[in-house]
Amino acid sequence: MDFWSIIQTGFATAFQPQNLLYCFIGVFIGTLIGVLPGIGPSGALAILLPTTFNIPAVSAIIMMTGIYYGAMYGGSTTSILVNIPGEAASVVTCIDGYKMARQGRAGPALGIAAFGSFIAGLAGIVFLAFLAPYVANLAMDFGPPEYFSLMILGLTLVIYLGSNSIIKAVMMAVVGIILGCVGQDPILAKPRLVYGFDALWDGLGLPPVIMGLFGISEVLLNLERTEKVDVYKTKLKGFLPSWEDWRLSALPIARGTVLGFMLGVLPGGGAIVASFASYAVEKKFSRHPETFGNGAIEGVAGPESANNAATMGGLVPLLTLGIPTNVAMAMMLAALMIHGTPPGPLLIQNHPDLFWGIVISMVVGNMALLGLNLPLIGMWVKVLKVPYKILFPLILLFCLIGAFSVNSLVADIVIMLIFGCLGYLMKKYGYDAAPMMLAFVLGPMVEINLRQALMISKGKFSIFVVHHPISLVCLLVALLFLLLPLVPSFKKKREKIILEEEP
Amino acid sequence: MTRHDRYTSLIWGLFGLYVAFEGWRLQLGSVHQPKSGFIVFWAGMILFGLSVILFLKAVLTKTGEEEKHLWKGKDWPKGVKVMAALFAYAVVFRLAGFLVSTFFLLLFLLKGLEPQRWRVAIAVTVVTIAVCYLVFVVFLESQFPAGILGKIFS
Repeated sequence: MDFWSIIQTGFATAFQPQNLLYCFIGVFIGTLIGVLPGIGPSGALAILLPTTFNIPAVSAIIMMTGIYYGAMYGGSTTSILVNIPGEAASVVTCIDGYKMARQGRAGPALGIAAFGSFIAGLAGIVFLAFLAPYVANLAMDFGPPEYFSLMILGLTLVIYLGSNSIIKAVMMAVVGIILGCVGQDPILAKPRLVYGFDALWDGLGLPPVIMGLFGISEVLLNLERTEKVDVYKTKLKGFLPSWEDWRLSALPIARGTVLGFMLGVLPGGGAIVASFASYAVEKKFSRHPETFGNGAIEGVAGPESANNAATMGGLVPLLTLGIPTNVAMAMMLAALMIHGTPPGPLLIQNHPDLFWGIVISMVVGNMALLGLNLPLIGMWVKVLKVPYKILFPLILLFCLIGAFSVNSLVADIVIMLIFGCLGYLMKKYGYDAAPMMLAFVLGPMVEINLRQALMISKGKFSIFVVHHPISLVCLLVALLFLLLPLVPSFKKKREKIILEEEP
Repeated sequence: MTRHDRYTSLIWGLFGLYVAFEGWRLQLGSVHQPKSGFIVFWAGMILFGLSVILFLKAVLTKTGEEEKHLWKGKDWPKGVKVMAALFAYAVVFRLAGFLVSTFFLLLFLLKGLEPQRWRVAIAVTVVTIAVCYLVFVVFLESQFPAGILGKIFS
């Protein structure tokens, strides 16, 4: 297929009335999820997955990606107006965004966050369109050793970048692998760790586990907080940033876009790390670093662009290699599998309408988000004022319905509740759920590829390093990231970054 | 490292040992022909090993800082009540049906936990159930148990 027929396929798919509708629904729900503190995009994707069962795969994925990048837009609103991030990737926006709001500049802060996200989103889509086919071609030559090593590298990066204790993070990744073993052995079909429960025969379902760990547990943590949240009362006017604002923000947006996309491609990188990295970079590049923390518009423009570009970057490994880089991408992987379009090197070749339809729909979705976020900001502010005592029963009910709807099993509700308790205790005692979740998703794939590689090599572990340079490089990089924290200077730097990231 | 890590590492360590035992029961096979218990066993062993390291670190490291109270000043009993209600909901869901069980659950969550006017609690409950029924049952054709109401009306 030549370039123009590819673009035509994308437009034809994205502009089907049904797909346009699902794109708008996705970005609308995404913005709502981003605005509302207490539920993140991962939990929302898990809750809404069952609603996509009766619609075509392309529409379902268009809606789910819309929710994900829509949440990145919406997240900035709460950060700027309430000083509470709607989702984790907007934590850093609180620093200067809220200060701008207190100085009476909430409008320009919201405006530059929306425009920055829009520009980064569009640039990210272009990067994705050019990079994904190239990576897919490269991945055609991948065998079990390469896939195994790549997944190990992914897990290592999640552990290195996301958690303050490497030991605890590795422990959680191992627990995730154990949870992934529940159900039938993928090669010999022998039941493992099912204890006679029929509901466990096919393994633990991803939606109930995610809803428990990221939905229920979050509600429990919010419920026990005693402090009250007030929306900062300010006149919202002048969303269009001034020329001076644009002059200050242009380079941070550009840098944030490139950095965000690159970090989004890396497993474990994602939107959260991207926004923090962008903030640090902008502070370093600024001629007036002292203004950061006191309402510097660059501190809003850079991170907001970076978190949006990172969401686009995360789609590269997901769609071309079938490897999710974060929990939200794991939900997207589940959706693709359920709809019979498993991601991997052949996805672009076998389902060009799906891939290019998603790409073009994201352009449409980003434009819709600009319209949703600026003219309708008053409505989102009103949503923010809905008291949590009304909101939390609704979140819990959607989790219950979502868990049950997947397989019409009460057991899935029970599984979700158990993981809700587990997630709550894990957060209390400083165990990060992200490595566990990613290992849970990747675990079965890690196991299949490890066992296949060992069978091919007749039990020789050298298969991962000899004659397989990509595998060797991945394992060496993974080893490097695991050993780096042992070097005192790196350990200090890493701990400083992680501490800054914690809300 | 905190004092809590000593206890949590012990729990994870025991869990790791148990998983390793389950893996061993499932049969390990050999390196060139791994069987169903291979990954389970080694994952359990690694978890146990890491738990031991975490435990030792927690015992041997002195932070010198005062430890953060995880439960003090927090309204955690509210979370316990919520979880109890949710587990009860799961138990009666099939028997009572979606409409009845959801009505009582929402009413409890809206009125039983926080001070709220009855009028508001009932209005939010009814509207939420109606919207959920419309979206999930009518439009998305989800199969929710009819329960008591199903029996009465059939």
